[in-house]
Amino acid sequence: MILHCDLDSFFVSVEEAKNPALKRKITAVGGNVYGRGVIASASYGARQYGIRAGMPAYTALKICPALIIIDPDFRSYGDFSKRFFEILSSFSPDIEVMSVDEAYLDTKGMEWLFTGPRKIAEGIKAATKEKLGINVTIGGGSRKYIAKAASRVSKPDGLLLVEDEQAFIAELPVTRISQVGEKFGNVLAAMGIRTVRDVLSYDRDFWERTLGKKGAWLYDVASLGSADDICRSDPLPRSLGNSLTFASDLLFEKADEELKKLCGKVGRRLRRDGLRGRTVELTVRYDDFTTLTNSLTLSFPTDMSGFIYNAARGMFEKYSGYDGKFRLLGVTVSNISEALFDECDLWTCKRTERTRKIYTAIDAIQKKYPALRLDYLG
Amino acid sequence: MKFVVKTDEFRNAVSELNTILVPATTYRAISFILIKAIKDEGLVLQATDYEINLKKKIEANVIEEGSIGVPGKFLNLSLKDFETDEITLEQVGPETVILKSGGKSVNFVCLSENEYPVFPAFETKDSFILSSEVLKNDIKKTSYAVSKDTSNMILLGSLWEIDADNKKMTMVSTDSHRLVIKKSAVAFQKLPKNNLKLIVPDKLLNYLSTSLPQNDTPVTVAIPDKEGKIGFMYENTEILGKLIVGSFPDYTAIIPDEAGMSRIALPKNDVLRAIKFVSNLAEKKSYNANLNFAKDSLTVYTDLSEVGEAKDVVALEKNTHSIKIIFNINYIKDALSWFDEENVDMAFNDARSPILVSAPENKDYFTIIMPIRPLE
Repeated sequence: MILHCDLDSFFVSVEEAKNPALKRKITAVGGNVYGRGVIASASYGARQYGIRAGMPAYTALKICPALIIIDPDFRSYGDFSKRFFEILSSFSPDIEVMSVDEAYLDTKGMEWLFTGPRKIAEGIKAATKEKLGINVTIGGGSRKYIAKAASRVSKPDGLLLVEDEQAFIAELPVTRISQVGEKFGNVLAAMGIRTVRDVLSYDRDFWERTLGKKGAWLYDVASLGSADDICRSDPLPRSLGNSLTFASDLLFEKADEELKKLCGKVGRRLRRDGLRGRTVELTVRYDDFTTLTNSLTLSFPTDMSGFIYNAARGMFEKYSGYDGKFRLLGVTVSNISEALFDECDLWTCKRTERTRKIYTAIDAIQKKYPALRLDYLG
Repeated sequence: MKFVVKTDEFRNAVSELNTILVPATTYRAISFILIKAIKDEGLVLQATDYEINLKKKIEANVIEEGSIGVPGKFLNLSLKDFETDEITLEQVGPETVILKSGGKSVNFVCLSENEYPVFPAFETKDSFILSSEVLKNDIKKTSYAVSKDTSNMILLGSLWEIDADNKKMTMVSTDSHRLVIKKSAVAFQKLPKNNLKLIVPDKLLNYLSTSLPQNDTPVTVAIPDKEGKIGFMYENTEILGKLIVGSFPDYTAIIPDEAGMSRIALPKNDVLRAIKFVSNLAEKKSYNANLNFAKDSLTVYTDLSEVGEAKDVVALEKNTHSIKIIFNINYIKDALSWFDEENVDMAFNDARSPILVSAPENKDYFTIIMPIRPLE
């Protein structure tokens, strides 16, 4: 069985664990209140007022003036997240991490140690509560999407292992099935197919005839005819990035300064985790909320902020003629690999070696004085 | 406009023009072929993607003059299915032509000539003429190493150095991790007035390496008065393209001094077979492989932890060097593949410095490759 383990309102829970006095208050974690920050995570108390992640902070305060908005402390979220995955790893080796507060865990092969998935789920809940002081909701099923749907309906602090899966999934929207993306969902919607039950109202032949292999696959998943999902623990993240909504909209030159800082940060995170990325993606949001993305693949994977900035700056250059201002910039690197090799090329070998030494020194200083912000783009 | 043309000739020309075209975006013209029919002259066919402008002339019996843009992709596909020797194309409306022969006919929605971009007039400042075969061969042997990394525009083409004084041509391509150089002594049929340095972009190289005839047809290479362009004229073809403007990195600075290097003789085909064998495990296009040289043998070894490991051993006669070097396997494969010789030398200093691959007794064609260096 696959368990979907999802920490409840993660950022807020961490803040409450650090400062239990907050538990009696209506809280949310988010960006600066007077500017244009948004709510990143809302407590269940705040959710009763309709406050949700992604809502502008000032709107949230308008709805609920008693709301306490806490500045995010990403360092401790990272730390809690790491400890949470360590707890999961003590129950099964097969873990697929989806985000900072969410992972799938495969109970297969653990029958000798635990008497069934329920014991594992209960164990995870107890350990998380005891060691981290926060609640985790767990859903279980033979497929990832079933496990995820089960945890979704049992939040907060819930546990639901689906027994009659066919009945449970009948009313689920088809787009909840993993690998049914927006595009495929639209195709299905155009056919009048919205729920899993709708899929099963036709036979397999029909699906194969109309949508080919993909149709047959859909029917198999919906009828639970295909093999159970497995969790493949992939130690490498798919991508790593940072974006920033500016306190006020910025002109090109000023936005470029922010771009430098973002690239510095992305490079720093890559180096800290011993990773390299080859594809650099730039997200640009205009003051009218138009959002555009560009990406570029380098000839080598890198963790040097300077290379990331060069690539991002090259893409940002085409916006230099934009009349308006910029609201947000984001830099993400993907195509991630472990940092095993030196990236030096035929011309820059000596220089790259020197630059790497500078980064190593700077990262060491940064580690010792975390409050210091050293941006080096060599 | 109306003309009758030999199906084969028309089909071949259209198919070549199609290699230039790109799917239409906001600029529709880049997916159309402009056809001009001129009495007593024949057809002038033209395609452009704003980077390259390609013109081809073919014979035809022009009954009525005219010109119009025809959608290249559909014209090309349709022509493949016509079986008759001759074919008729006729304009039947302001933006419609009909192509017919035998029982088959097809209508196209066209683009009027005034929507088609006028490519700048071509005035030659300097030019040289050389044999197509030489040009084609040298392009083929070097263009494979052109960079695909758009963060450095300069490397998205090959450097051509034309040395008029010594009648030499040098082509250099690099993606900064490998570099290939081909030098040729050329019997120019016409020498340029000046020595030239040109950076010719990848797409133009690709077109030339496939389309230039494999014989001694003279090719005129023209440098127009407008900077940053280049023209090629041969037989019925005229291509005008944009050059990459900027300064190519100084490649002479990174050529290692061969005198002090150790050499290993490689049997090219055996090594390529070994690489092909270990490549069976590769899911990605680019990955690393270990080349383990030992006394009288080379072990090509790849460890792709997610799939498995593979190795193959190649016998090396008389090798006494023992060293392990890691490479991006494609770099070694590409480098070896383009040698005509069966035996190729690999010269090296150590596992962390660039290696040099060349054929014995031939200093005019070689590749330099940066090994993959494990972090210390």
